[in-house]
Amino acid sequence: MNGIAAGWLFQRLTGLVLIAGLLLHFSIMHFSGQEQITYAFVLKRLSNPYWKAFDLFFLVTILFHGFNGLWGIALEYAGAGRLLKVFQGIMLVSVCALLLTGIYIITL
Amino acid sequence: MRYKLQTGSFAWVIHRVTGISLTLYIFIHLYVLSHLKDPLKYASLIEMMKNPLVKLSEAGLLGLVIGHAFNGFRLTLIDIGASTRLQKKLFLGAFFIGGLLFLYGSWIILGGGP
Repeated sequence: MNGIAAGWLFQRLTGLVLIAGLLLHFSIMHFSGQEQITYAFVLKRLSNPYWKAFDLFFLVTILFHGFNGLWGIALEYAGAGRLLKVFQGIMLVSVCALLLTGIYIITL
Repeated sequence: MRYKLQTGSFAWVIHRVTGISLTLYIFIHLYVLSHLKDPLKYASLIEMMKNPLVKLSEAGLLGLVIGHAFNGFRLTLIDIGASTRLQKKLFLGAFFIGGLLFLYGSWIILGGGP
């Protein structure tokens, strides 16, 4: 399997994971009432190792899905020259920054 | 040459626009979450979330997520072998179920429910 086909497959797989994860995310954070999102409650949930594992997995999944999607769009529109390299550079830096920010939040 | 805007190309445009928006939203989301360390900052963020404009954009975000998720699920079904002849029906099905979920979710976000 080459890189493009693997990207296609993983875009589908991560998409399915995200549907399940977002369902959980929305039902807890938005549809379970105000007391679920008080400071103490959120920190308590953040300190649970299972939630930490879920959050980390979710973070990596969503970053892959979002930036693999943008990567494909850049390949379609930005030609093959310097503009594409600039976009790809911005995307790589963004992914790293977001990943580090996410890990910082999870390890709070 | 001009494209005729049919169901498929319409879905394709929606998928792009919602996908790009959602990826950009990750920046905002993680920026906000990175203030979780400070209870006062958290309280002021939660206070900001009660602003009607923020509530409306939250409902808009739900719309982006549902639109992208349902269309993506439809694409995946077609990719794993659902007949392309079902494409339009799948789109309409996703549109109606997603639309109902969006209305229900927005109603809760805007203060109507639990």
